[in-house]
Amino acid sequence: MAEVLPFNPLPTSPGQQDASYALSDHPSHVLVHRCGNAAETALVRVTGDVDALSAPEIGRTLLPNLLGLGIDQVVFDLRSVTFIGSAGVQMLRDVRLSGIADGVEFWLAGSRAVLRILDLVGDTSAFHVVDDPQDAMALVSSSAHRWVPRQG
Amino acid sequence: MGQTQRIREESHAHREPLVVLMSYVRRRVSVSMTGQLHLIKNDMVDHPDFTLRLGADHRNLPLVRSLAASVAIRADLSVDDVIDFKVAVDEAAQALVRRAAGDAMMTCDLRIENDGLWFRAAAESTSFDVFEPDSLGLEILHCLVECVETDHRTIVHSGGLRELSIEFVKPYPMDLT
Repeated sequence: MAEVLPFNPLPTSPGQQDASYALSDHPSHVLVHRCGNAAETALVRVTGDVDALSAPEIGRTLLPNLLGLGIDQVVFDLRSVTFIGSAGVQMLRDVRLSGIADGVEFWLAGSRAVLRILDLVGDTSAFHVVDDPQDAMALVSSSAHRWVPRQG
Repeated sequence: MGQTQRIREESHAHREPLVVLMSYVRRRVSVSMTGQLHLIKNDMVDHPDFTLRLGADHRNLPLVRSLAASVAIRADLSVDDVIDFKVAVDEAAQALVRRAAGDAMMTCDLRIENDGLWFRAAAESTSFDVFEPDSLGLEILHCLVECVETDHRTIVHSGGLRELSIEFVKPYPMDLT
């Protein structure tokens, strides 16, 4: 079984902290970078192949560390993903469906392989697709996407 | 299919993931490998066959994808078509691995044909079909390739096992045919 490094506690004040997950049995890699700006944003960088072996583990890594922790914006940086199949598409669907219930918005910058398959299955419209994750970060920080705490 | 010559290398009997470097020059195919690999060479230069025989294990899927991409590149497919073929092969092989018997081997055949790339994968299984009817993998496969066919054949004296297989064709774009 692949080893998942423990998630570091997140800062409560604005700042940045990274948590890196090395999937030891697979050349995939997950990096979560949380930015405490106007909105609570997490940048999730995945590299390598997202296939039947790595996708479930990536999903298990992301779900408890992204959702229910006050994060409102998730930016997937999948530009270095070299392969993605149905397991990867399903993982993205699962993470997104879990997140939108909490009002999380999802952004995505993908490699050609990623965008081609997402387009094929009609999932491209489920994300705000950007060329560069920094574009998403800039938009998230702008007034148009300023985070408003939920009441209650 | 033309006359074939089977080259069999079993330097290691275990089923670890393999590393394969393959080049195809005229009628010769050279392979360096670790693990267990069977390579079939077809004497018909225009229709080379490639066969991988390896453990039906998810850890071996990168090798199958790698061979699929190499064959697609050799067939002069575009970058997008290489991606498509690689995904299609992975979906088929992945589904087969999921249904394969515990210690089954999987055989993957690829052939460059006049009108497209042909792929077939087979493994011993107790199941009757490769995919669940509404699976995402099958949906993707049907979007990417044509002539998707699955089959199961009883294996005599195998304790209920059957050969479960799937095959399809990835047609060349119009400007390549």
